[in-house]
Parts: sequence; C-alpha cells; structure tokens
Amino acid sequence: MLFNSLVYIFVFLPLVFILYYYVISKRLIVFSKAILVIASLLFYAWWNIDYLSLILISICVNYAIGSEISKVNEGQNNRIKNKSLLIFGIVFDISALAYFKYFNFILDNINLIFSSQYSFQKIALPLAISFFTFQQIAYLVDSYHGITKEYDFLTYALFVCFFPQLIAGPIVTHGEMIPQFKNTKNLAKNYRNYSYGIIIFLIGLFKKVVIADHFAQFATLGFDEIKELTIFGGWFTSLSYTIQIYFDFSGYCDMAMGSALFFNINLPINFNSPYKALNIADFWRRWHMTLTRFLKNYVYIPLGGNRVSELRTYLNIFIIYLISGIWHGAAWTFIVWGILHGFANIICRLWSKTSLHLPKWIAWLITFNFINCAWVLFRAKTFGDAIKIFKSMVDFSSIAKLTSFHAKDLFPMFNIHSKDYIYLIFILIMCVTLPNSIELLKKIKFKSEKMSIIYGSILGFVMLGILIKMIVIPYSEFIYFNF
Amino acid sequence: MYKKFICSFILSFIFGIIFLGAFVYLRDPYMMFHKRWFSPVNKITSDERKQIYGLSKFMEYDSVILGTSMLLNTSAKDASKLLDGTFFNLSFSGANPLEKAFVFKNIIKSKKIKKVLGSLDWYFTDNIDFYESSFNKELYEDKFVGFLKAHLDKNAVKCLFFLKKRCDYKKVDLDMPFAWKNEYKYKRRFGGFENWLRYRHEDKRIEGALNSIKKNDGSTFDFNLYIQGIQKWTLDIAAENPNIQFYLIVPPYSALYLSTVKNLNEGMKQVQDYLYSVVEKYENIKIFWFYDKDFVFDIANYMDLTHYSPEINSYMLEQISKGNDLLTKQNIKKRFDSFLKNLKSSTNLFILIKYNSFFV
Repeated sequence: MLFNSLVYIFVFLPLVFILYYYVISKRLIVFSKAILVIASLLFYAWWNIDYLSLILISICVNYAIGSEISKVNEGQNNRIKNKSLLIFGIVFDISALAYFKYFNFILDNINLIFSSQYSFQKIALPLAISFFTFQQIAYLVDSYHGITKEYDFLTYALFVCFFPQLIAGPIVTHGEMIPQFKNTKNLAKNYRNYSYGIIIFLIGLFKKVVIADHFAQFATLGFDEIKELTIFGGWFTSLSYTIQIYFDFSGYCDMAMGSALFFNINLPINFNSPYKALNIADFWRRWHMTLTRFLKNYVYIPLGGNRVSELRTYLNIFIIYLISGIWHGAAWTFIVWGILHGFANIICRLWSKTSLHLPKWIAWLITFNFINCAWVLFRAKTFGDAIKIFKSMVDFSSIAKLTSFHAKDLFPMFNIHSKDYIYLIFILIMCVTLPNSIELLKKIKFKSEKMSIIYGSILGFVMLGILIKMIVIPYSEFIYFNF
Repeated sequence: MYKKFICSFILSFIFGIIFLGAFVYLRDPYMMFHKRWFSPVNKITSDERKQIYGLSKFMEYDSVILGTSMLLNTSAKDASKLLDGTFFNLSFSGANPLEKAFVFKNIIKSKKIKKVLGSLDWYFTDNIDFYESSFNKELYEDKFVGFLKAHLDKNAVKCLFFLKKRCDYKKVDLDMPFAWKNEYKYKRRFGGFENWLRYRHEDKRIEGALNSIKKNDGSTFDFNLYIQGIQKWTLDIAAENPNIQFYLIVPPYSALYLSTVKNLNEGMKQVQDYLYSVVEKYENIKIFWFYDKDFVFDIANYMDLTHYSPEINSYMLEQISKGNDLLTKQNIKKRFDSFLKNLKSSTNLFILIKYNSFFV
C-alpha cells in the first residue's frame, strides 16, 4: 500500500486511526499497540504476503538476541557471551540482507569473472529489508552497549514495523521511538498533532504527486527511451531526476511524519533542504539524515572516526560512503555512486584544512553539479545509460544546430512545452531559496479560530485538487521502495 | 482551534467534491450524463473522441455508422432509408480499430443494435492494440476515472466554466455530426491536382502527401498486422454479436496512395487470401470493395491521398443497399486483379504527376 494511494488515504489510515482510539477509549492499552502492529503487518503484506514471514522471523530473532544481551548486561558482566550474541545477531541480519538483496548480483559477477554459468532462481527483493535490517542492527549494538532496556515484545515489534516508517524510513532508533510508544500521554487525543499531521501529509503528497511524478516522466524518457540526447536534453534529463528523487523521497518522509502524528508519534526529520548545501559534507548532513546518522554512529565511529590517524580517517569516510552505495542497491552503478561521494567527501575534508574559501555561489554551484552528475549514475540502469547522459551534457555541438529556443527544438523527442522547462527552473530555484516542509510547518501558527478555519478550508480544497490528480494520473511507487 | 481546523478541512474537502460533482453534472459539456438541458441537442463540442460517448448514449437509433473520417460524410438519414433501420453516425476522425471496438462495446451495453455500417481502413501500425492518447478508454468502459479524466483538460474546464465564448461548441447537423464535407478548406481541394497544389501550404497532410510523391519514399507496411487488427478488433467482435448485421467497407483511398506502398503486391495478395477466408465465414458480416471502380484512379475525387468526395459516400451506400460490390469467394480474385492491373496501367499518370514542373 502506498501513501499516495486512495486505499491508504481513504480507507487504511482512517480505519486504523478510528480503531486505535476506540480501543484506547475502552482502556485496552495493550490491545491498541497490537492493533498498530497488526495494521503495520497488513500494510507490509499488501505488496507480497510471502515476505511477511521474513519480517516476523527477523523481528523475533532480533528481539530474542537483544533481550538476551540486555539480560546478560543486567547480570554479570559477561562480555564474551554478549559479543558472541551481538556477532550472531549482526551476521544473521547481514546474511538475510545479503541473500535477498545481493545474491543475484554476486552470482552474476562470479559468472562474469570466471565465465561460469551458475544460475539461480531470481530472488525478489523483500520490501523494506534494508531499512528494518539497519534499524535492528542499531538496536543490537545499543543492547550490547547497555543503552537499551528490556522492552516487551509488542513494543519492540511496533518499533520495527510501525507502518509510517516501515517501508522507506526514516531509519529510526529504539531510543527515539520506544519511549514514545510507552508514553501514556501519547495515548490521548491530540488535535494539535492531527492538524500538523494533516498539513505535513498534504505537503508530502503534493511533493510526490504534483512535482516528483511530473518530472519522473521526463527522467524516464531521457534515461530509458530516447537514444540520443542534445546537450539540453541531457541536462533536462539529469535535472528532472535530481528534482524527482528529492521530492519523491522527501515527500514520502513528510507523509510518513504526517501519518505518525495521527498516533502522536514524532518521526525524525530526514531532509533539511539538501540542495542548499555548500559542500558535499554539508549535503550529507541534509540528505537522508537518518541514514547518515546510522552510518556515523554504527560504522564510522566504531571504525575510529576521526580519532585515528588522518589516513585512517579518510579511509573511514570512504568506507561509509561505499557502504551507502552498496546499501542503496545491488549494482555497480550504485557502488560507483558511493565511491564518488566517498572521494568527494575526502576532497571536501582536505579542502577544509586549507584556508581557501570559495564564494558561496561557486561553492553551491560545484556541490549541486556534483550531486546532479552523481544522481545520473544512481538512476542509470547501466553504465552505458549513464555515459549517454554524461556525453549529451557536454555535447556542445548540439548548440550550433539549434534553430530556436522553442521546447520542441531544445528538447527534441521529449514532447514538452516551454512551460515544462520553465517549471523545472522554478522548482530548482524554489529548492534553493524557499523553506523546506519542516521549516514551513514551524511557520504555520494557528493564531485564531478564524485563521484555523481559513487554513482548513484552503487545505481541504488543495486536498481535492491533489486527489483529482491522483485519480487521473495513476500513482507510482516511491523510488526508495527499491532500496 | 485545532478541532476547527480539522473540521473545516474535512468539510471543505467534502463540500468541494459535492460542488464540483454537481456542477459537472449540471453543465455536462459533453452530454455524458444527460441530454442537453440548457441548449439545443445538436450543440456539441469538436472533441470527437469525447463527444461520441455522449451522442451514443442519448441519441435515438437502432443502427450505427461507425467508421473513421472516411465515413464522416455518410448520411445517417440515407442509410436509414436504404439499409432499413434508424441509423446514427458515430464515426470519428482517425478512429483506429481498437477505439472503434471500445465505442461499439459501450453502445451495445445500453442499446439494442440491429445494423452496423463500419470501415476496414488501411490501418498500418506496429501495435494492433494501439489507441490514441486522446482516446479515453476508461470512459468507454464507463469507469468513474474516465468521467473524471474527460472533464480535466483545458477544453473541458473552458466548457464547464465559460458558457459561450471560450468553449468550442458548434451547432451541427445530427445527420452527420462531424462531417467535413461542408468545410470550405476541404471542399476547395477537390476537382483536380492543381487544387492540391494551390492549397498545399494550408494543410500539413497535403504538403506531406506531395512530399511523399516527390521523394518517391513510399513506405513498406506490415499487412499481416493490418489483418490481425481487423480480425481481432472488428471481425471477432462482429462474430460475437450474431444478431447484428455488419456492413463493412474497405474505404477506397486513392489509387495514388496505394501506389506509394512499396510492398503493395505482396500485401494485396495477403489481404486477398485473408478476405477469401472470411467473406462467407460469418453470416452477419458483409464486406464491400470498391477498388475496381474508376473513381479511385481520378485524383479529382480526392482532397488528399485518402479522403474521397462525399458523393462517393452516397454512391457506396447505394451500392451496399443493392448488394452490389459485395466481396464473395467467387469474385474476390477477379476484383483484386482488376485493381492491380488498373494500377499498373496508371503508373504513367503518376509519373507525370511526380515530375510536374512545380516540384523542381
């Protein structure tokens, strides 16, 4: 079930909401948690019921290991047993991830290198496996460090599979989620949260349906369908994808935050205007912030972070971006994307050690263009596709052939109107100059009843507009569902 | 305060849906929900693919003319008289076989149809299941999303909110709602090749046709796909409705047009063999063939490579009513051969056209 589907908005979410608060009104607190868990599992099973067992096994095993580690922690200080349990848990999680996500990729590469013919049935990627694996690894590590407490199974299961964040994050930690699930204050009806939940959900829906899906069609054309692109077509394609991926993923996260607020749960912020970044390190502090946090806390710091030699620090930086690339997908294009970001971050760190300062606009231009070019690798299905886009982006000969500045001459084969590329420029300017959805949300104040009614009425009509667009143009999956 | 926000949000959303729904229902620019309330029934929009839906729902008829622009000028009144039935012309420009199938299937859901006068146009494609992006498939499946889509483009919004000035309403003769025969820009191109030349710059199609002749860059078509398309989307559907009588015309495009097809001889052989196998197979299907007539070889009868004069529509109707020009197993070979023989002997004429001095 997608957040931008009618069944989610008009059936699933309202039903779960009503049922949850009805059960709470009857003071069946444990049962209310069970309702959220069952709803979340139903939400997960909506795509493919076959993988429901996988997430259930994963939850049970990790809960058992985590609880055991916590018990040992509470008793004698048996670090060897704890470490063994931790290693077993991590190996279990990584093995499941490796099997489902990387097995085919590894086999294909073995066949390529050794010219062998090993074949295996194609394994379909279980939805959300990358997210719930990372989430549970973090839980095990924190259990080992004695940070976690002994949670009850239902609360733990809810932490892993709470439907607003289950499929594509944000990657939450037990520390920020479980206390909220346990807090009885969160069981009370909170109209403030519902109001902000509606607003942020609508912002996310707008980002996805009106912006991301609009530019997705051009990215698809440029990457997958048009064989030869002009310089304008190349840039239009890459920028369309740059816009698509940001509005798609941040839109998803906004909708996740909005959905969670209906149950008085605050999810962590995952985006903070990433395209405003002035260097690549800054970009990663703003883009998919919960992934960056995970990689920093559970990979970079355990590797020594920047407390080791300078060379090791660079190696550590490189490793986390390499892992980020591998995590995103089982393909060499993702790995090279991760490597590029690793090198860019190393260069950024080296640069910061010099006393050189670039004017802000040059720093932004370099950073944004690097990100835009790197997204080409991220999106391309093969290196051939990526090279096609890169080549077109520097094909200055196509400028000489230009006969007019009409859209049909600038972007042959795209079948677009001038308003489309003006729209693209407008959205880019918007990304760089306007506040993001969270900043916007903070600015919205309900100062009077009259104001509340005006806001509510306007947003009701906005919702209607989006709904019409959703019906007319069939919804599409979120990009991050693939990861 | 927050409760008020939530209530106003939900209420405005519901109110918006009700208001919009009611407004669309009342205005109903394409006559999809009811017959005209505020204007004459023959005041329709020029969006043929949408408007046909409304006309098919709310007009009175028991027989239908369902073709492409080749049948737009066929009079429903004449058809009613000659073929015995109450005909209505629901043809639309560029209708491909799949689109016509959708329209037909929708019609028979609500009407008891006795006769269909249809066309087996020379429709060459690489996908027999293709339909134009402007064709609202869901509408003809009576799906809610189809109605929504139909009212959500610029023209629909204009027709919904601006009564007269901006909507492309026009009063038509319901005998042939989308006929083009009275349009001066088309009419003046009949009469001879010089009229094509005189108005060549006014119409892309005529310019394209002339360029095609000049360059002698005729195309190679997949006749096999043409056959598959008419079988799947016309004959099979006709066969599923044995109580409906189908009169199917292979529209006589100009011989000049067919002469530009590179693989015409092989293609015609394929079509001949195919038609031989089906002409007497279905009791409710009659196929008519006019390519052995002289008018096919006279460019004066055409306003471009394919569109013939309205007199030919009337002529074909008359022949059908008399049972002439019906393809049978006995005459099919003779009639195909006759066309190809005439075409061969006309080659000199076409060469003359191709090398006319204006091309230089």
